Amino acid sequence: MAQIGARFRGWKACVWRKSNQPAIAEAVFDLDKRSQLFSGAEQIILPITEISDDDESPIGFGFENGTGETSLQECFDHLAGSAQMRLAIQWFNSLAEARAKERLIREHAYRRISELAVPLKLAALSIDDFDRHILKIGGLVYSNGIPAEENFLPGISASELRAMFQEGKIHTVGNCTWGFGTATIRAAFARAGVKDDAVIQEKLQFALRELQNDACLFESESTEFSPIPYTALAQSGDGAFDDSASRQVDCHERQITPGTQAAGLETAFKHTVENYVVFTRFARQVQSMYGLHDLAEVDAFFSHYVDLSPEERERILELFGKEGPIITILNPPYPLTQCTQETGVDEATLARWVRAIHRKGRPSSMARPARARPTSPKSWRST
Amino acid sequence: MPKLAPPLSKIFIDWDEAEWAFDFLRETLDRLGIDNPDDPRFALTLQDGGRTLRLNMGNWLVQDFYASNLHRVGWRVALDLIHDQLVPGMSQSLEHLPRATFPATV
Repeated sequence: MAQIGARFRGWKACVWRKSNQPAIAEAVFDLDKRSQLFSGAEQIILPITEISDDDESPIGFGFENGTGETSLQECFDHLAGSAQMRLAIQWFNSLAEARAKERLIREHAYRRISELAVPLKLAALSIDDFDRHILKIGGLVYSNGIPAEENFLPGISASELRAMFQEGKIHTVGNCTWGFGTATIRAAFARAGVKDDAVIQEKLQFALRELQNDACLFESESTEFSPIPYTALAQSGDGAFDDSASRQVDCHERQITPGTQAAGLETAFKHTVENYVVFTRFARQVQSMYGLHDLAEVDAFFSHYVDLSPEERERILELFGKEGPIITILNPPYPLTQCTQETGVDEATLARWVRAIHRKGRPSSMARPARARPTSPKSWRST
Repeated sequence: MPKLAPPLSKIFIDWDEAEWAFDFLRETLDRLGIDNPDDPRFALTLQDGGRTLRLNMGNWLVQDFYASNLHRVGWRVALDLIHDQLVPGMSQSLEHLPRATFPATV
């Protein structure tokens, strides 16, 4: 219980506080009020609270690209357990120094994003700040604002980089990631009580449009965005990691064509947000399957790998692929349909449980007791 | 003991049981670091048509008290426990819960 208390020590309110029964709560602490409540001496109105699962439903993950092509989710599902992915993880695991350094950079980037990704602060950001701190491809800059010439300072070791961070000589810009920045923004909206996916998107788009009016960055370009088809990701093997695949999920690397701006922007932003969400789900899957420490490490892996040239990637895959992937998948995907067949629990219920576990971070289950026959309440109190 | 009044009589069999449950709630809240009913981090809610009294903390279910006719298998109390964090002796004590069952640890 103390651990649970510690977990929620910093919370401002229980999510069901509005349904709290103050009369019962007072009776827990005050024996006189307890007697009144138990005896019914005082007419206390106790409205029943029915908390439906819909009230708690998190943001959905559905994604349709609207073109009839393979969806990003399907592509990622295919990619997660592929031989190419296992070889790439195998290669990444062999790079202890680079792994530590990349993770360090992302931890700093995430901390920065979490400071900014609060709705009020977000609305106060200029489009340049929004772009620089949240949407831009990640990088390092020196404290005087000059970008590090080589994006992640390849000649610097992890310990040296840590010291530079601690001394305030450098800091991160951009989200250093494909997806977690915007996912964090969405989480911030959710914490603020906005749960509806469409509403969140609308607010994000509104924020972006408002910001544009300040800086006119996009207006000056007079462009609309054309989402790139997703067929590239459907390819197995090298195609899944090629440059076009990585660009699709990065707002900063958008394709731009002349035309009207407003509708195109909303479409592009919607696609970006959806891509981010789908990618985050994929990243969690990779983290679980390959035993990576956290999402920062997953992100470090992807960025490190995708930043390589196609020739370098090919060479690595050849080097590690001579005898086939030796890495073990710790938690292979276990489709709900299979679980339904093996347990008899319907898929909708399982999906609801999965959402609850993702939302709360732990399962809650019930079982019959080993021994549960009546004894006196006093015996419990006296133990 | 006088008869327990509704709506708590829907959940608890008698005054003694309700008294025990409220003491237990108090002890749980103490352990959670809650020392007054106005602390917004917790919520006590009535659900299942008034047949479940639930203690919520943050966005977690911490404790449930069920009416005797709510669950066919006879569940009466649900606790949220983290097995490594059990208070020494508590698991033994749980076996003496009156007319109660409790959940598996998580």
